[in-house]
Amino acid sequence: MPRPVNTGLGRVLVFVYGLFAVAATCRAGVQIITKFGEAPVSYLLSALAAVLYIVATVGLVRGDEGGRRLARLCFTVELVGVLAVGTLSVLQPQDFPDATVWSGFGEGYGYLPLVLPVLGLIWLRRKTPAGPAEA
Amino acid sequence: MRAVAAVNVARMPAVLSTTTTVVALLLAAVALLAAARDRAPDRVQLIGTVVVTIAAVLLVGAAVASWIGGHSPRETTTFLGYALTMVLLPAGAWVVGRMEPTRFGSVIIGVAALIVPVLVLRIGQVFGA
Repeated sequence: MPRPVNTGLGRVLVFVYGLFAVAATCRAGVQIITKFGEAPVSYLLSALAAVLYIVATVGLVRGDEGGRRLARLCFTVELVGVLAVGTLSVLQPQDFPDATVWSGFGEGYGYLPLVLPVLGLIWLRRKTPAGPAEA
Repeated sequence: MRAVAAVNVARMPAVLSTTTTVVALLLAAVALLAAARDRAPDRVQLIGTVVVTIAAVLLVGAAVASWIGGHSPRETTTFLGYALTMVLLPAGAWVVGRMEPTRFGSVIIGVAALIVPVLVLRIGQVFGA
């Protein structure tokens, strides 16, 4: 029986991911409803990020094998997304007339969008039953 | 007389913004220090959460009062979202923090307390005060 991923530091991750899920969903929702035409790509990316945060939160709360796999997939896509969008927003700012959660590697959110998936992946690795690091 | 009252209402959020920021940072310091000392959320953090919540409610109340007084926020929905988050976040963090009776419960309360000053700043920007 693997040790739970949703207690201890895992509960902090669940809390912060839950906050991001709510914040990103509300922000994307408001942007899409009130001014979708201004920057559709940015707002759709924000919506995608919001969905990923929600699914990652659910996966962490579940904490079973499936939930872990789900969370790991979300963390990976988030990391790729924040790196890709972050790089693009620096190289080609004209493609992003309005900021997304991932613009500038998440600078609008204290770089948490970059730090969180890395923390999450490390956390899931540490908690793998066959893992060498048993602390 | 009328003008003086208007000025006071407009100044209220500024004072309350500072107060909310200061008590939130104090709570963050207390909670994160407790986490560093391997302590679960305790009575001091509960009192801190209550104080921050009262400050947040007063700040939002003053903002709404100046809104009724004619000084409306630039983005209504965004303001309401931030206001609601700021009022509920410390208490929510306390509830989740109590579910985790270890040092990590204190981390949750500390992290939430760190987010409150950011919300105060954003509310100030949305309000254009």
